[in-house]
Amino acid sequence: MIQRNIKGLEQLTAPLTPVGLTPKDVVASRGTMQLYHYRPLSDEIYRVPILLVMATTNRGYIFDLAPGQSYVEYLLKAGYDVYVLDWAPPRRDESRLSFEDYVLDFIPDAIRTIQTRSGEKDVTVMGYCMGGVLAVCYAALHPGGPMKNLVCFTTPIDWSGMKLFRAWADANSFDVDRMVDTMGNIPAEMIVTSFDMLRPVSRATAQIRLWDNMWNDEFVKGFRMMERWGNETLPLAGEYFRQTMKELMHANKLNTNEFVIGGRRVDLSAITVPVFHILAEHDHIVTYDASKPLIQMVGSKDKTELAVKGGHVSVLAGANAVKRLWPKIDAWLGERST
Amino acid sequence: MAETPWTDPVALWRDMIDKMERQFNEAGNKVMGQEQFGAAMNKATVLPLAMQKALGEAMAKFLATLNLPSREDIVAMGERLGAVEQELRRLNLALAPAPVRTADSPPRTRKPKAPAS
Repeated sequence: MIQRNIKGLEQLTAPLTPVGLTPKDVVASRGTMQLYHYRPLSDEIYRVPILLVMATTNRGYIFDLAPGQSYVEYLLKAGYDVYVLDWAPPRRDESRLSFEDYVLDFIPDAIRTIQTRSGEKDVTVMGYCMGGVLAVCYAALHPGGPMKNLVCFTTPIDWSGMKLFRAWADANSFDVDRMVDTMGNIPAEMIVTSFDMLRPVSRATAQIRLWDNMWNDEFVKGFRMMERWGNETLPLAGEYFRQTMKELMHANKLNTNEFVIGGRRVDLSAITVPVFHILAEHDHIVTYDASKPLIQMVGSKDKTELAVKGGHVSVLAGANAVKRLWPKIDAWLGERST
Repeated sequence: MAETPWTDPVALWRDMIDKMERQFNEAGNKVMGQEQFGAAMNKATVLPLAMQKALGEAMAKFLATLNLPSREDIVAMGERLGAVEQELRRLNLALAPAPVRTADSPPRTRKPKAPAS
């Protein structure tokens, strides 16, 4: 009890928990688009570099939480050349950014930068959550390369599987046009609230568990890292949000291969590169049903699906991911990165 | 799952918190998943949006009267700066030298470990 009180007082004045500490260089910065290149941690690296595409709702340091619990650090030590496509909060004038910008501008721009810096044509693209949606759209619209491999984490394809989000964004009552036309970018607070509503009491019980474990420095550090990441949720560009709601949430067009970007239809069967899709068995955000269809829909002969115990975030960045998932990705990707 | 021993009150309390969280979340999801809830929630967000729009338009007129830039003017300026930034980026790429590889860059010759026999 005494330890809890002392630690509790310390927490009130503690600075932000440092995250994203693996050394990196910013190699492209254009409004919301930020491309980082991580400095190698290995004397010999694989030929094919990796581009990790972060979800548009959150900061990319979830891939690089802390030494010993950093997916980026793991990949670097395993000998990969790692780039991360991260997002800064979109400016007001970026409210007009749409899927066309993310899929036909930002990702190709990032890949061109990687090709220039590495001297390699091939790139492995990994996408997490909405980053996975952007990655599969890019892959489907660029079947001739330069993507060599596609790895997706908890990527929503069948949006009818996200029943609560669909109920709240029902086309009959949710006026997305008015929202976007009035606000421009969708505020981060709205995004956070929608996530919190999926588990309405969990924010309160998390504080109870924090108090219960206040004496445990490791627990508190882990909690504060995840809390910081949740608090730094990003606003969403208005047009991109409008398309997400109308085309994906309401009309479910990604699942029916009817989603059109830049006048071109996204047909997932056009993806023929090796694909590895990781699903989280207890994902309350992108449900198992929502992400399951990807592997059946791609046209690749070399494709693997892996369902892993864990939630939407813990499957990739939790302490258990270090042993449960990352070595499996390394085993699959290593053979395809030479 | 092993039963929590009744002689451990702290473990019982933790168990209770876990169970309560699960039950309250499930109950909350049931209520919030109903069509009426979504409709009511969305109606509640429309009013502040309408007020925000009306206030924004009134402010723009007021600022124009004072010969001051409105939000739209600033956003337009930001867009022009963004376009200039984009053009500079394009020029930089066009002028980019050969691949950025130095003597310190590790060789790209790694092979995966052979599986243990």
